[in-house]
Amino acid sequence: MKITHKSRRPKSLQEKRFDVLVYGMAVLLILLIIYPLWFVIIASFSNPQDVATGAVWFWPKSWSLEGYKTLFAQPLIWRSYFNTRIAS
Amino acid sequence: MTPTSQVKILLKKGRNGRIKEKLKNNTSLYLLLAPATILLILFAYVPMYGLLMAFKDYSPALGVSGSPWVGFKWFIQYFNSYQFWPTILNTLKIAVYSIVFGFTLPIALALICNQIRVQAFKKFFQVTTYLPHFISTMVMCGMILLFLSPSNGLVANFLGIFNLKMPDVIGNPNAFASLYVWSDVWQHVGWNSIIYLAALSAIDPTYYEAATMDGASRLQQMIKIDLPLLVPTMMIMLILAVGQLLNIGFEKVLLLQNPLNLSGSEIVSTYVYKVGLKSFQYSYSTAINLFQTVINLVILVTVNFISRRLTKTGLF
Repeated sequence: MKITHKSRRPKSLQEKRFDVLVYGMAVLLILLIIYPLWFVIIASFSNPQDVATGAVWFWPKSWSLEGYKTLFAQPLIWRSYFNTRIAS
Repeated sequence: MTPTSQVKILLKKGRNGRIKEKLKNNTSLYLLLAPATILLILFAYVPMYGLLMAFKDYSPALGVSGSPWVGFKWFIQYFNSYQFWPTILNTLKIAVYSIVFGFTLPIALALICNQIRVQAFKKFFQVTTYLPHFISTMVMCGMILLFLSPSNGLVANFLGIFNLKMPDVIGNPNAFASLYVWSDVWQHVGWNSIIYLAALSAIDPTYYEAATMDGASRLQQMIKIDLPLLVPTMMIMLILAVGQLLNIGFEKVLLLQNPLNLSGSEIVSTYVYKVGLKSFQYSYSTAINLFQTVINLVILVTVNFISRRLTKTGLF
């Protein structure tokens, strides 16, 4: 008789509780890491006033590409990007 | 030829003879080692010549060898300067704080990740926790300021919903260490857990099977199997971390520094940067850095010694 690692047996209550704890923590950590990254992305597409006053939460508000326009209007942006590439 | 007679011949040849013998027998291995050795000498040992500056009154016109010797003048000047204790204490505080959390939390994360049985979710979890690692320090500091700004940051806005006032984290010297350490944990915890995950996946599944047969719960398995088998990896990672102890991410500290939190955020390396590269006191800054390196070396050797005594694992 061979016992495999994934033997099919009913999960005990304790096991279930442990699973809930593990998955709960994992989901919490994912949210904790994803949300700031997501916020940076949506903030970059939103109106600066809305970002500052706290109107932006989960979705870009008053969609604008103003930030990117300002960024690419900088004369030094391509030069500094080129320098970064050279250095690395 | 018996082994003992071989030893006798080797002993007769004397030290030089033995070295020659070894070189002859293992020529190809030594040749393989040569490029690495040459690189090490060129980029690690030759620059150490510049350390002489710490004991001289260096002036660029005279060069390192031409400048007059001053002995320990610069060290004494640093010990007597009013910046000595603040910089040393801030450095130690941030270093110990970040070892405590930056070292233990990746282990906890790896243990949690190892317990996730749904493979697709596990992969997703791993990828998300690695993501922040690839943000550059500069952008990271920008994000910290964006989120924690006391007037219109994300956290301030969130607290505003509940009519709570955001404490000024960025301009508070006492909060600087926490700000530095927790943002670092957020950024690197996933990445640093990779090595523990690798060690965990190398554990023989028969241990778990035996434990399950004996009725151990998964939490008990985690504590009695996973943790003890991770100890050698932990020790090596701890020693490596201690080796970098005082080399706290210099640019991050410099970028998060502002006149308000300066008393909590001035560390040895930012002080060296200001004194040495901005005010051109090369000898003084070299002396400070050398002092810091010596302290770090002492800590490293001590931790390594303790680790070898306690767990029989060590770097050297």
